[in-house]
Amino acid sequence: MKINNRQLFWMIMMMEIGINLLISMTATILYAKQDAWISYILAGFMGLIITYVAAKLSSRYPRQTLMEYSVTILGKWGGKLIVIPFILQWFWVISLILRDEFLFIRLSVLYKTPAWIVIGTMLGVVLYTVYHGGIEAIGRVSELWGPILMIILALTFALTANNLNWPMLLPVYADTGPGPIMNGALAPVSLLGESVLLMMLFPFVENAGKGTRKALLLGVAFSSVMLLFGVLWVLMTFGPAISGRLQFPFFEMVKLVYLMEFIQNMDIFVMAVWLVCIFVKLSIYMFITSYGLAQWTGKTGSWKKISLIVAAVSFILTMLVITLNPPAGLLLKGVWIRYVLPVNMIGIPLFLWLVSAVKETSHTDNRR
Amino acid sequence: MFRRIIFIFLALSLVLTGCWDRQELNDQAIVLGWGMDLMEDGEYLATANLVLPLASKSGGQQGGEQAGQSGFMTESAFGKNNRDAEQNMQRKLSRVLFPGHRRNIFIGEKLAEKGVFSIMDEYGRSPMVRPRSNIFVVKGGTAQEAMSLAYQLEANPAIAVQKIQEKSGAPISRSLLDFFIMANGTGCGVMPALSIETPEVNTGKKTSNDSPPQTTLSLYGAAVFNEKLKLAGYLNYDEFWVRLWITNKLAFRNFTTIINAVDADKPGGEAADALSGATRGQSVSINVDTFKSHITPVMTGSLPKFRILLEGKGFIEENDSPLDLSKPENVNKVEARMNQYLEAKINKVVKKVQKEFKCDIFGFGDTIHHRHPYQWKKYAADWDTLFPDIDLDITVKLNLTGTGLTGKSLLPTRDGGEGK
Repeated sequence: MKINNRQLFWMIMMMEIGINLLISMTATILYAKQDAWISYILAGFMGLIITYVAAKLSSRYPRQTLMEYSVTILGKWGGKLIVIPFILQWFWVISLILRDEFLFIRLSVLYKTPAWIVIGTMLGVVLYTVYHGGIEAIGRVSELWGPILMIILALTFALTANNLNWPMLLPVYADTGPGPIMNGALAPVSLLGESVLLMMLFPFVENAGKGTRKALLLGVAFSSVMLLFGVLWVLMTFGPAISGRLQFPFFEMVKLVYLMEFIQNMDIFVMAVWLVCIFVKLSIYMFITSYGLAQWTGKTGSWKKISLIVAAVSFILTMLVITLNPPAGLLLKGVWIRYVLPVNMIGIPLFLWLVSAVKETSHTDNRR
Repeated sequence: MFRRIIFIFLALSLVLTGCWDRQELNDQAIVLGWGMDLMEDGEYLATANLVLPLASKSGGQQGGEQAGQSGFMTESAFGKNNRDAEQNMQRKLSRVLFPGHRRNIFIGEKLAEKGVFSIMDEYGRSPMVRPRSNIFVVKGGTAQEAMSLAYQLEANPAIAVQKIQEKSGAPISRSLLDFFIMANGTGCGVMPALSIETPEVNTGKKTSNDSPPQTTLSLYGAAVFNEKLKLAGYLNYDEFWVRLWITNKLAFRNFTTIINAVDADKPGGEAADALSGATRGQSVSINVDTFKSHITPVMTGSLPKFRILLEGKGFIEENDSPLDLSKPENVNKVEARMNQYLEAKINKVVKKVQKEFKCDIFGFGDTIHHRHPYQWKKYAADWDTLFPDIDLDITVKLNLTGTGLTGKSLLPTRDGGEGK
């Protein structure tokens, strides 16, 4: 199971764009209004920093996953304990993405199909990929679909350009100020920061090193540029007041495509590609959850069996989330931004890096 | 083994997923238009304009009325709101109402007067419906009246009005979205308005094949809503383009003014003559197809002022005056005259909006908000009371780029002026 840097680039790209386009926009625009695009630029930079720290940390231990090198750094107990938030996060992410997928599909296409079929089929495909192909299959799928995603997005932007009305972006900065813009940046940065899962992928990359870091950073940078375009387009189409209230503003914008009478209803293409994005993201998460759990329990060889358990647990969790139906905004704000962003994306990687750096200097000091 | 199970599961998912949402075309009643009226007792009357499947099979080209069968049907039902009425309507329909193709929404005048707040939520919320819709107010009538009228050029009256609107130079298929955006901004909302017109001159039908003009739907202009989303008044067909031009949304329009004998001598002359509709001169028509508006707020004094520069590019399409258009100075005369006429016309309409509707439908407040955001905070709260007294300096600058296929007219004699 090996992936190369290019595949890693596309993986990060697909993972970051799909869900961000769907759910982060409304939250950002609600805070930052017409300056949401500044928030996205800010989020892009913060995402790059988070990615850089995680990649730097991982390249200290290029043959180990997070599960392994946390033990190397902190010892057996500390190492096993500190990764628990990650394991929780991964389960959480899988069920949340599935929930969002279900909600979106239910609202847009399949009105009557029961929830377990929508998420069951998705989980089935994901499980099949992870079980049989592992990370390699995911890499290849992303390499194949990533460029298609780019083409569809470019087409979307081109075909909706006639709806744009740039004065909707005015006045810049005066209505919001630094607080709201920062606040608005939190949602996209917390999703861009998901690139920290590279800490689990690093050892699978062929000749991991500088090129890998570059691919990762490029992946995050490219996806933030795409998201920036997305939010600019949405703002210029609907204005801040409307787009801050639509649940999926980007897809509403796609529905507006109307050119020469016959080019209409592009949304089905975008939806198809979006589903592939979700599929890639879910597969990556499913893989690292199963593999990470296997390593955590010390039975690395049986990760495939564990993936079956992960799938079952995620299925139950998702059904639970769907029945409880907590508001998406609360989950994003209350859990994701409040805990996952500071702890899993910033806190733990920085801490591990610090300890590992201190250890290394003391190590060389002792030797001297 | 596992592989086989997964395979079967995947194969099943391909076959099964669609089942729950299968909706045969034969089971759908495709809604093309939707209308809402307010009754005396406060109940809503919803009207749906449905595609008639049988007629579209035999109707072919003419669609409208073929062998006594029209291409559409209308159905109505009472209800507390859109969805409630839809459910009540279903009682009378053998097919499921499918609003996915709903392109036009009609609002009866009574309902518009009482305010559209109570019914408009569904148009943005319902996931079955596309955001690219038009919304119309039926002036002096009910939505039901307008929707049951057979429109001969199109298979369906609901489609007709949308096309009329597009052919009048207004933006395509987005009046609903624009209304939502406007209602959220500083200004008030505007919707296109329809009216039902009896034929100008009624020629009787002598044989069954005759086709005299009939009572038909027409675009009246625009309905202006105040900030409470209640109807404030109308701009008629000859006025609504003013707003479109100022807000940069006008696509094309013909303008006709009278060039009288005075004009032929010296550029300028009395604009009032043309405005009063005097016919003692001769008319010139120009076709303008490029419009541009520049609004500049001037922030001196206690009230902001606006300098509005409206530009347009077009060519002369008809000249019934003695002017010889092969001479550039005469084209300039037409240009100057047209500018003057348009300025006076636009000023009149803007004054009317300021005084009668007291509602900033031109987005002037927005330009202050955009250009001088910090000063805007002073005015934002009571913009609707300030707006009627705002000073506007309107300049029209047309650029005539051609005189059509001829310079001089093809007619040899012209009475008066410089015919030869």
